[in-house]
Amino acid sequence: MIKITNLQKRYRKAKSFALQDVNLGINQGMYGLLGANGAGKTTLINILTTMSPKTSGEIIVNDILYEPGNYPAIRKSIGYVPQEFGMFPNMRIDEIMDYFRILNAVPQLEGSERIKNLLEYLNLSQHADKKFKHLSGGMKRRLSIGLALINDPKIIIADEPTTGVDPNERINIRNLLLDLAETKTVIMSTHIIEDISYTCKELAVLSTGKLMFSGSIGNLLNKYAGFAWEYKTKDENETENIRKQMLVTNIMRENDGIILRILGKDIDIDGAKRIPLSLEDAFILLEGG
Amino acid sequence: MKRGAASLRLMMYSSLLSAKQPLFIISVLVIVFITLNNANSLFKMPYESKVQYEEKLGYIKYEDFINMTFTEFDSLYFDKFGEHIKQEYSFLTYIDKMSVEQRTMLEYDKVKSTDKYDAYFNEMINCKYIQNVQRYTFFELKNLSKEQYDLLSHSLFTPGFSSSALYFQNNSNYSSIVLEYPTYSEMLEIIKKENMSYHIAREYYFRLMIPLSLLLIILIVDRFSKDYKYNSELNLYMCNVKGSRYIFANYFGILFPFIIASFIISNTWAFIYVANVNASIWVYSALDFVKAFFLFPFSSLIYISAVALLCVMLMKSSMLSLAITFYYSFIFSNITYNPDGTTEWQISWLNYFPRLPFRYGIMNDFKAEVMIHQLAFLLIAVVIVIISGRIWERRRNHCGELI
Repeated sequence: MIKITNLQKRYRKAKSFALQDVNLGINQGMYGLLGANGAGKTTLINILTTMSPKTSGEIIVNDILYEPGNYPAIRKSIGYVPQEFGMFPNMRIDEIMDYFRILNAVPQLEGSERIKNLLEYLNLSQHADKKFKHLSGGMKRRLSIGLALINDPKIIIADEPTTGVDPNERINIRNLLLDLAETKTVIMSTHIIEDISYTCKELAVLSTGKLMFSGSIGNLLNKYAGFAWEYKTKDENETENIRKQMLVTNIMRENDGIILRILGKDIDIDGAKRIPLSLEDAFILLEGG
Repeated sequence: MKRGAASLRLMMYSSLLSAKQPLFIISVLVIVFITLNNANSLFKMPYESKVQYEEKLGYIKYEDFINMTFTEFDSLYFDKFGEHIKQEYSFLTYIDKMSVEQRTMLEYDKVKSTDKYDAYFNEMINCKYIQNVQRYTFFELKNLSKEQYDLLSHSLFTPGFSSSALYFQNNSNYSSIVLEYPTYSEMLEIIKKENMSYHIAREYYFRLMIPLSLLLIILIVDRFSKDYKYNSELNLYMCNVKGSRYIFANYFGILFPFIIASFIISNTWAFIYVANVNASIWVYSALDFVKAFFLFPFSSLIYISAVALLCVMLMKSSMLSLAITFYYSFIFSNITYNPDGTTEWQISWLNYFPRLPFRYGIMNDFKAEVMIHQLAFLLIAVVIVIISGRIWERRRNHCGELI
């Protein structure tokens, strides 16, 4: 669905590349885009959504070659859920949906039916007459997903869709995106590893503009299999020494001692035992830990 | 065809949305207020019958007054105020000496009895130009008033002046008053070409231009800065809509409801006025107000709103866009003043509406130029809107660069 080859991006007046030699193939299903702040996720999304031109490389989106003349066609096949979403405060949900239907030139008959279905799907039907200013953060985020779907695009790009919403709403949004991934390509950019681990089979990890990994989560975990350790001690000094010498990702103090979570290929501590590697551990190792 | 229909649908929808906005509703209320306020002066005009006016046209004939010697005027003054005037005294000396009642009496008698000169004299009494004339003696001032008839032009809306004008029109023996003024027969020729109501309508819309412009600028800047203010631009950029179509539809979506509201409201008062006016004296037609609306405010409003649109597209900031467009609309809508205080009436390519003199002699002088001016500004407005569409499109393709 999306094929990226040797993509490079350098902002004007910038010395370094924001994206360097990125090669990706994204197919139908849920795809995670993981990276720390400033890793290049937003730059990649901006390029895919035609909001920022690429410096070099080739992109094919839905069999359309990425070039300025094809931007309208690319936009037509992409639905974008931005991180920050706002709308005129006095507009009602149904008005906003209808406005975007007209902006997207969706015929009224087809569009009205789609809006009705979308509102039901997004669990917003009963709030259709609510003004935007009266919506909660989660409702706004769901509305934003609805707007991205109004054109019935084949690709959905969601930029940090779960940031700033309560846990229940986070689960709702994740489930919504998962449902969509049944028939569409859904790219979810986030730095919340939990969201990726619960929803995506495949992911790409970016760090300072470079692609560190792309493939299935299983492959990533296999790559660092046996790198996670747990060690229990009662000695505070020892804990401090281990912290200084090794990559400790968690320290849990309990009544009978201190449990350390350590990452490393081979660690030289008696009594340390291997534990299953989490996606977060793999990400930290990938990032250079 | 399909694209046109889509644009039209978008424009209709934007119009409906704009019309529902609280700011638009407030604007409509303000239009009602300002049009009513301006129409008020029209309502005051020849409401009374010709006979009533003639009764009011006092006992001192203009010819008598203009040829009055100092002694004769002194005698008149003595009759009124019980004291003699001194030739060496400045005009202000007399004004200062008079009580409010005395001034009113003098003013009242003059307005009812004579012609344009008296109206100008009343302006002097009202101290509008007192700084410039306080050094003159009474007779110097009298001569000055004859030379500076321009300053009187706006006074046609005052009841006093309109009654004088009626008197002027209905007494053809006054044709020899002063050579530089049109004679009665000349004025009749002018009025034959254009109804009096056309000239009144023109003045009416000149007065409405600035408040209408300011309201429209606020609406345009508010609408387009909202896209950025409420972070909705990213969603909008991803829509399957061309920049030019988006800008055209939203721009006209505000402009058309505003112009329709202005047209209906301003013309309602005008129609009421025309329906009630004493048509036996002047020729009045409601159609003149419609004609004047499309000749003057229509294209000027389109132009100034396009300037506001361009500002908000370039700057995003609503306050900065408002400040620049307000500044432009004020600077290039005012009459320019000559160093001697007289006004200079001319069409300038920078002035977004041609503010013409309301003077009998040159009522028709600029008609062709006005048409060209307004058409040119309409075309410039279209070009500005197209440029704004391009700016929006460019911003859409490069907005990621700014994040």
